[in-house]
Amino acid sequence: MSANPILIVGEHLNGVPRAVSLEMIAATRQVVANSGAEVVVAVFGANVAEVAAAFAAAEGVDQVLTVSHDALVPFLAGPWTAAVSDLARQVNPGLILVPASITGRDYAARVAARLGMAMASDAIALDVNDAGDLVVTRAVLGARAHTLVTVAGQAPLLVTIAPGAFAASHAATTPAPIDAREVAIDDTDQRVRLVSSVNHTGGAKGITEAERIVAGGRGLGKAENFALVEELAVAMKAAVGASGATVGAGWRSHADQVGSTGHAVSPALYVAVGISGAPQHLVGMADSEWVVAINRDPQAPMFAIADFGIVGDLFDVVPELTRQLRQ
Amino acid sequence: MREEGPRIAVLIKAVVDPTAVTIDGTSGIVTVGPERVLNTYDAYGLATAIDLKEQHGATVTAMAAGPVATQDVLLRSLAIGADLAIWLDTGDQHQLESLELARLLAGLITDRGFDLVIAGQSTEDYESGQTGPQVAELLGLPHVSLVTQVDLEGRELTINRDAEGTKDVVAVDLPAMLMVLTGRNGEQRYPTLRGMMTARKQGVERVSVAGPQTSGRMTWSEPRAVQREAHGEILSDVPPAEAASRLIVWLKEKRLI
Repeated sequence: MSANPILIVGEHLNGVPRAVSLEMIAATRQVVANSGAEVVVAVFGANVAEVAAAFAAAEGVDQVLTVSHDALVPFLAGPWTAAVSDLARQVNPGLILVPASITGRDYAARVAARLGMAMASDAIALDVNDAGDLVVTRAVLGARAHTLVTVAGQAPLLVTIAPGAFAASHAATTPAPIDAREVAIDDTDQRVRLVSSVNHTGGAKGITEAERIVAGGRGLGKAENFALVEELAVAMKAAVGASGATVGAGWRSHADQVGSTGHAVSPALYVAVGISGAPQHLVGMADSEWVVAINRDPQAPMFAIADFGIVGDLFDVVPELTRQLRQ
Repeated sequence: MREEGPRIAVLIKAVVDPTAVTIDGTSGIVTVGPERVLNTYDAYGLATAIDLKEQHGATVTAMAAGPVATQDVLLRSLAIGADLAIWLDTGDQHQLESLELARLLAGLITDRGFDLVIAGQSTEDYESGQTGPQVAELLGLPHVSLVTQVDLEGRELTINRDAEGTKDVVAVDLPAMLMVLTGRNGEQRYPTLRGMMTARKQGVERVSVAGPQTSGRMTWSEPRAVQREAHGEILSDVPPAEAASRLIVWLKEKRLI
């Protein structure tokens, strides 16, 4: 590991840091312990003073850089690619961390290509091996397995961090300094023009606005079994969500899909039924306040982020739960 | 084949067949079979390209890099309606970095000349979603991700996309790159028997990749099933009725119901 700084893109949503952003700071702990690298959090947007202060107050942050530019709001991949790349050239990091959010996934790979950096997506662990090489753990094959990506010593690396994999950073005793930086965003990075943008649900309470969501996954076995999820959702006054695998299989419409290729949701309660918890799914729901997992497989990654879990056959548990809720 | 429409390159991946993955419960060893299938998002990308072909007389070239089994998936693409299929034979270099793969694909695309590049949003097996944006970057093209609908008028594309929390419409001029999420109402196209016969007759063009293409700065371990630690209250071996009632008590405590 070089002692070049670690640059974290501190994404935020509605004026507060994304949960994964604070988790990313904690994710650097082992790398910092090994290399002594400084942790720099960059906050991009329009009015970012308040968000910058929130990042500066997190433990493990050495410096916060703010980048304000009109082209950064609303989000488009081109201007963000330009801004993150330009700031990275100024900071010269050995490691860049980007959240594996729906937006982060849209510019991270382009930034890595622009800077010629190695890249690994959806990291759930970040370690340093005996040789001093960075080792990134990622979940693959629908989260059924992990693979380790080892990056040789000095190669600059960009990693996207899966939500829910690390505990959020605590508050620091002294806040880190905040400095403003300028970046250049060329016209070539602004060739995509936003014509219109409307909320997904158009007024109706769909999954992106629901207070409670019951979501079903591949564990349901077939499309017809989604009835179990629908009945539970009615009993809980919840909206119905679906994993990417079930939408890909044609069981549910894309409008219901939660995850990196679907929607991001943040309800008070998220009940995952037969969903293993691939990082690509967690990306869409890890900001939920309370998570309940029902799954036959005790190794399902969803249990790692669940506040309450039932290891059992969903075909026994879910109808029983619906029956008791109706009473 | 009409000459005047846009030239479209569709990037395809022959992904690991999810039904060909087995996990040994005790050792955690994951075995991946040799079977490959057309990545679902790429199937939507291909359908989007063929829509444009029908509307504007585009030429559609399906391209895929990978092992031998990739050829079958490319034949399927021809049978579905692609005009040409090119297989970038990477031999057994399955451990290519996404940026190295993107360089190979971008080189091929530049060689052949294209107005529009279409890829699926992600892949179903390794799910990194890196290659598409990296190809766009190397070609100097703007990219639009999470595409659900595409309309072309002259050289201008109007694109519907599912962004985070919003449904957006964006516009961009050719040349450009699109990463397709579902395409036209999530409808795929399927090969006909006649299409399969014609595809076999036409065949897949093979482009061999000379020499090793990897810098060796990244290495990947074989996939392993691994345990993760839980932090919440997890009930195991509890009868369904009791588990359900304990969950309801917990939900009431948290004022969630």
